[in-house]
Amino acid sequence: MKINKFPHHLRNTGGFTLTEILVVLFISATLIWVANGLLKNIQTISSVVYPSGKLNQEYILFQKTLRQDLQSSLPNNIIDANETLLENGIKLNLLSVNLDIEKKEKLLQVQWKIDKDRIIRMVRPHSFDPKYYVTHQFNLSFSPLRFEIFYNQRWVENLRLDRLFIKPQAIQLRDVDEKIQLVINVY
Amino acid sequence: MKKFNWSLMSIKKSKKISGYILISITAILLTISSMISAVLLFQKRDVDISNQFYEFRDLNEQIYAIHHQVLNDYQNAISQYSHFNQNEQKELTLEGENNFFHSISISPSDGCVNLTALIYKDLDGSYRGMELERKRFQFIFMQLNLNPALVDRLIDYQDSNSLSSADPTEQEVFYKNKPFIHISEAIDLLNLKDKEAANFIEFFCVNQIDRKFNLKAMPLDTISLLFPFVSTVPFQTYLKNNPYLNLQSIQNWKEYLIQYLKRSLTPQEENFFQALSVQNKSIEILVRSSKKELNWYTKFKLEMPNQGNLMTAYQLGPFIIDE
Repeated sequence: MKINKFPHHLRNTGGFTLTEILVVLFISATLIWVANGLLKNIQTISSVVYPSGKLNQEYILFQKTLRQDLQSSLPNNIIDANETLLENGIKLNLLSVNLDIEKKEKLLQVQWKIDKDRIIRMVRPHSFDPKYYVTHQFNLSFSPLRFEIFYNQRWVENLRLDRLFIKPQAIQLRDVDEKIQLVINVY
Repeated sequence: MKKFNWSLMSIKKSKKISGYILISITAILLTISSMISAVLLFQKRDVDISNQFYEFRDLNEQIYAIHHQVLNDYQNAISQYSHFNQNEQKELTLEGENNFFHSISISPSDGCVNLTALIYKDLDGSYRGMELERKRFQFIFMQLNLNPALVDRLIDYQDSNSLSSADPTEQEVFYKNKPFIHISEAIDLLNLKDKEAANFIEFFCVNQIDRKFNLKAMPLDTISLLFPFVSTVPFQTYLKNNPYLNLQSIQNWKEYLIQYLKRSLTPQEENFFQALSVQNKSIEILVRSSKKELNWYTKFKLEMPNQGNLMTAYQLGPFIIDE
């Protein structure tokens, strides 16, 4: 017969077993996960919420970046859409003026490829550069994509001015038939 | 004796086990704290993005209001003077909502050699190169140590035909078939770098509606380059020594030049006055906005048509800048 050779009080002061450590880690992870959700909810409540009821930082960043590009685009843009409802994606080619590292205004060729499930922003820093470089990729899905782009056309002294005017509420998300639509209103 | 030995061993073993406890607790605490830190870091990033966006949205609304206020003010001004009457830079400051502070600078943007003067719109609606201005620009380019052949490239980019007078091997990129909107298009087209680009901006600009060069807002260096039939350096000295700022009309300018040349102007020379004006018809508004440690840069340009409402040629920004 085997006799337990360790006194009881000494055995209880032993280190944790692997199972105990894993259980503690699991409980901690669950608590953190719950706390994370709670923090996000607090943030959501205190913020402007987009139609699906979720606040998506990626959407915010996308909206800001696109807005800045549209706002700083020169009127001679080539936009492949005009009040069009597109199911299979859209491409915006903008000739935009941005500030360079020395804070000087610099021409930038910007291309936005907006598909159903992802949005990519690419830039070509100079007309002589053969290719575009990806600067942002957003994993956002909008279905269907709706772009409402209005041009403000005026003929003055034989020269045409096509200006894209963007109001503060230019880029919106609309909840139509439980589907999120991305709407860009450019006047 | 045996029992004693066991106890000694137990004590040794228990000490070893106590070491594991410390390691285990430290590991758990480290894991938990690193997980909390990671969560907080992500949360902070998200909150920063949100805050920046809300500030950006607030700022956009304020810039929009400033833009419209300036438009309304100048709409009233042009009904009095028939031009902006803004030949010098004007500074304003404005306290915005939500702790924004705006510093507004309004300056004439036609006191320069306008690149759209190189073309004109023909009766059939197409854009064609202007031969007289081509000569003037070539002269100016030579004075500025720029290759005069680049002038043809500026015309080719803007005119309607797809023929290149500068270089038959030019790429398609040179053919926009529309006038320039912003000076950066020309800098990009001519592939000018840093110092060359800065020098170029000092003398040239782009205005669409009124293609004339406003002599009232023009620096002396630029004025001395406008007349290809006059030697630049002696004329610059003449301008320095004889007041020219009070010349109120183009006719006054012709008389001023006749006085300098000590002879009358030929019809060909008189043609160079066609693109000159003494009225300000284009202004640039630069808004520098700040909130706490953040700074933004917004620029918009207003142009004045001969009749009707003021036009906004473009708006750039607001761009965030770190200062």
